[in-house]
Amino acid sequence: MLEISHIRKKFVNQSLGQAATVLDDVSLTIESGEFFTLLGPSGCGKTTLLRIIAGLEQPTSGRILFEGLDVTSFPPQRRPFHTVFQKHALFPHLTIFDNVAFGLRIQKLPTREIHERVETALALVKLEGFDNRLPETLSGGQSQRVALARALVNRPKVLLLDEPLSALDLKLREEMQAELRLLQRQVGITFIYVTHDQQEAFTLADRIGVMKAGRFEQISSPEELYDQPKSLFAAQFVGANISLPVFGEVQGLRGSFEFSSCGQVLRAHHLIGQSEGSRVVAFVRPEKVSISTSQRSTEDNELSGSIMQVSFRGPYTEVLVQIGPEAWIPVLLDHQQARALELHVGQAIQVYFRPEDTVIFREEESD
Amino acid sequence: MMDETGRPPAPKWAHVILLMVLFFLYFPLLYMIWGAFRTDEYWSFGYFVRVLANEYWMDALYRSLSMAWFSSVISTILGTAAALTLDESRTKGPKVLPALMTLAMVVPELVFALILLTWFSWLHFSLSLLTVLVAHVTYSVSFTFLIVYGRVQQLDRNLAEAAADLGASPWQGLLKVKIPLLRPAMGAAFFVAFLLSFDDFLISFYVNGVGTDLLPIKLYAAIKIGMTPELNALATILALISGTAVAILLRSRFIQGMISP
Repeated sequence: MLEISHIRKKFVNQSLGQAATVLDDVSLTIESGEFFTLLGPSGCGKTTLLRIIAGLEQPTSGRILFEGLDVTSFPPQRRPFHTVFQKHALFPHLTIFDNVAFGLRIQKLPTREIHERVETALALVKLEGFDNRLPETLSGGQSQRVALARALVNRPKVLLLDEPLSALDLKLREEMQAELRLLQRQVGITFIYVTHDQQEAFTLADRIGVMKAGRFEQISSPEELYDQPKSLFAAQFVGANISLPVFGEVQGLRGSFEFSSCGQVLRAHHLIGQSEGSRVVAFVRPEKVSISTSQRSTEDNELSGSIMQVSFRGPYTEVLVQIGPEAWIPVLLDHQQARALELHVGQAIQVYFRPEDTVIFREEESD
Repeated sequence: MMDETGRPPAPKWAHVILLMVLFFLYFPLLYMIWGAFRTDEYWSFGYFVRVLANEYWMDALYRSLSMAWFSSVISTILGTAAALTLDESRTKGPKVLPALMTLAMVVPELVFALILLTWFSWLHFSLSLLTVLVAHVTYSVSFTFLIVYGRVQQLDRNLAEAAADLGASPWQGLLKVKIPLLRPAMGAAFFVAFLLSFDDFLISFYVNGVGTDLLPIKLYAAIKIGMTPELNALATILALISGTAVAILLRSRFIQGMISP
């Protein structure tokens, strides 16, 4: 178990003499064997947090505890963690074998054991027979595998990965994602994975920590993050086509608020920390929204509007429904459904979604 | 008319100037070498044999080579250490420090020699080969520093971090990762320092002790008496040694990497 306790990190800009807070009182507990992903836009502090865990950076305050032992003051070489760097950082003067054997030779293990473990590690990342090649002769994907083998061969308790796939093209990246997930289950060690790619985070992680400006916005499973985002930022950062830009005021705290722009009443179940009269903004994932050409009696939220645009999007048809002067909702339909409804621009239409799929946030959170 | 590079050919007079420049550069050298072989009636290696058998010259040659060897080894080590230290403190230390390391390039050599002489006499150091060694190292360390520092700055910072991450102490990281990657630059630095020391006359002349003259100083003293074919032969040997060092330097991975990266 890795405990990150109240970590703060301030960088002082020499030329300006200003201190910038990169991490602001970050706490987190990661269980053994977990695949944890730090997700956030660039500059949110996710890489700095990873470097502090690795020992490559010292926190301004706070502690890192591993299995109950305070490792905050340990230099990187004394921590049972190993890092896979973003640009791989293979030693260019050493062969693939020597790169992978680097950590074992530092430990002064017997030659035979080094040989066995390096070969096993290279087999694990499917690079048998690459022993005598130099790093410069490898492709991006192969370099990445060597970097993985070089870290894993030392049997770390925790593997830290800093956007390891960002240099690869999309197809290779998806392949490597699947391999990484499989590898993590195989070796059973804790992975802490930094990425700015929400798709990658969803594919890989047991849990995701969404970071913004040096703080965690939300720490939860991918499913929970998607269905019940705890902040506007988290809702907007994960998933595409999700915004339901309806504004209103909270009316009763039993879960209903009035949608002021067309005077319709919507109900939501996730009224986190809202108070009567506060301005809110509502979100629904587009695939949770259905449409109908005729009124139907239902407990669901209902909005009436007109079709602005129908567009073909490959796997689905996207229908933009205008529900107010400045507000519209994208609705995703499969092609058959769209054809059956015989939709055309300007058509009056009803939009339905369940209260439990409706999430609202304070308006001022928006930025 | 265009040649295959697609550029118009250089005019005739440019070729003439090129030939004249080459003539003025190389004719004196060839004339000097010719003088080393020439006797009244025939050509021979006689003067070379006489110089190589002469203890007076061979002692000085040996001294000069040893001086060049030791001063460039020390200078390369110090220059590398300075480069690594300044690189470590790059984010913290004042930006002027690397510039301060290049004193010898800024100050005229004559002034540099005077500074050292003043310094040694103030310290009551008696002048000897040791003061020459100190002087040569002080002079060439500016050059070795700059060569190695240029390479150090190109090193991927993640490599040192990766070494530490894999369990290497800072010392092991230095020996197993940084030094091997700096080796071509250190080699180039060594040869530059070697040439600076082996060719040096001015600084050696100022800080040298009695009876321990290096070859360039003895050569100078002999020429003041009069030019002889032996001196031609000796100068040819000097040119050969320097030329070999330059050839090795130009063929080194470091210089090759600079020419065609």
